[in-house]
Formats: sequence, C-alpha cells, structure tokens
Amino acid sequence: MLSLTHYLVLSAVLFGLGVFGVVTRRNAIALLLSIELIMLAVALNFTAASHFLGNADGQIFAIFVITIAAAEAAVGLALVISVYRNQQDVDLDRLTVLKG
Amino acid sequence: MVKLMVVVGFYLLGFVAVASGLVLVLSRNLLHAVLALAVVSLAVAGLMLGLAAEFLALVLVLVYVGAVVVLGVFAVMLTGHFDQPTLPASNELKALGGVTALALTLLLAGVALLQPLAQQPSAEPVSLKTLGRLLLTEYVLPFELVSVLLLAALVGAIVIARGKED
Repeated sequence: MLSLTHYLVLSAVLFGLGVFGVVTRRNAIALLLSIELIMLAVALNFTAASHFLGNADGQIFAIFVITIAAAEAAVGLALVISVYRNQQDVDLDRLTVLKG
Repeated sequence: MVKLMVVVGFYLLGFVAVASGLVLVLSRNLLHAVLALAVVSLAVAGLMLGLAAEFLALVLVLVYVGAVVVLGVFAVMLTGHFDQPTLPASNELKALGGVTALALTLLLAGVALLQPLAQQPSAEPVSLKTLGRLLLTEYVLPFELVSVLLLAALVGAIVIARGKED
C-alpha cells in the first residue's frame, strides 16, 4: 500500500534532480526549466501531505507554488531573451560581461 | 481495484517522472529538455489524480504544459542553436553538483523515511468547494497578492522582452 513516505521520497528525488540541473546546466533556459522541476516537486509534496493529513491547506499552497512558478517562468524567459539580444548567447559560462 | 490502479500508477508515473527528469537535466538538445518538462508535468499531474486532487492536476496541465512549456519552446526558438552536440550540456561543476543533489535527496528522503508519517489517506478527500472557500476567506490576502504578482510578472515580461524602442 502507498503511504505518504512513497510520495515524499519521489518528490525528494525530483527535487534533487532539479537542484543538480540548476547547479550544472550551462544553458540559461535549461536552468530555468530545472527550477520549474524543483517547483513541481514541491507542489507534489504539498499535495501528498494534504491528501494524507486530510488538510486542504496543502492544496492551497500547491496552487500558489504553481502560480509563482508561472510568473517566474514568464519573467525568467523574458530575461533570457533580453540577454540573448544583447550578447547573442545564453551560455551561462560565457556570460561574463559583469565580471571585473 | 481503484487502489491497485493507484499503486501501479504511482510506480509507473514515478518512473516516467524520474526518467524524464533525468532527460531534462542531462540532455544536450534543449528542445528535448523542454519536452521532458512537459512529460514530467503530465506524470506529476497523473500522480495528483491518484491523490484525489483533480483540480490541481488540471491546473498543473494547463499552467505547466500549456504555458511554461510553450514559453520554453518560444525561448529556445528565439535564442537559436538549441542543438549543439559539440558543446557539453553541463559545466565543470558536474561532480560537485551531483554530490550536492544526492546529499540533499538523501537528506529529504531520509527524513521522510525515518519520521512516523500517516500511512493511510484521510477518509475525506479535499473537495473543490473547500478549496474555493478557503481561497476566498482564510487565504484571500495571499490570493489577491498573487494576482497582483501575476500582473506585475506579465507587464514585466513584456517590458523586458520587448527591449528598447527604436
């Protein structure tokens, strides 16, 4: 039978994958997608807790997480496009204009 | 029967989610990474159906697959060169990042495994009515704030992406 632990472990794995992506990806778009993966794991975590504890607050929090993920994606990808227009590149290791 | 379906669905969708999550963080082809996010989102939406959160599953499909993935595809298209097999997908922090992510995962999973947690789902699933009522009573302030945030993000995204007038 499934328990809350199953869902928490799964979302921990997804969260870890997202963190790995954030640390290692060179492309700015891929980095933003990894952040989305982290948010997804958190939303799953909240939903599972809500289901097993019988508390609606978890689902409310998941809704807010999804909303903020959407806002973050919109602004983040707009920034990536803006940076690309200025530098013709979205590789984070080569974007060193601000480096002294 | 339904319970069995939920259990089988959990393992199946969990496998799909982790596998496409790996594609997302490792793929050299950016378009594959974006599409992997769509698959992860659909898998998590399926898991949420198993958690009796139909509304959230629907919102997830609409927002992630319908909006974030489409935005991602647009960004990939506008920045070009999405397929560069000669360029490594990861930077030199691969080992360090792997250790960090693994340690974090083990920490989170360890806490989940060691804590005595609820074994049985609660009898009463959270209804959409409850959610709506909570959003407009107890959580009305965050609800309004997040709508202002969305508006600001919308305007900000347009202003940033449009660039200078010339």
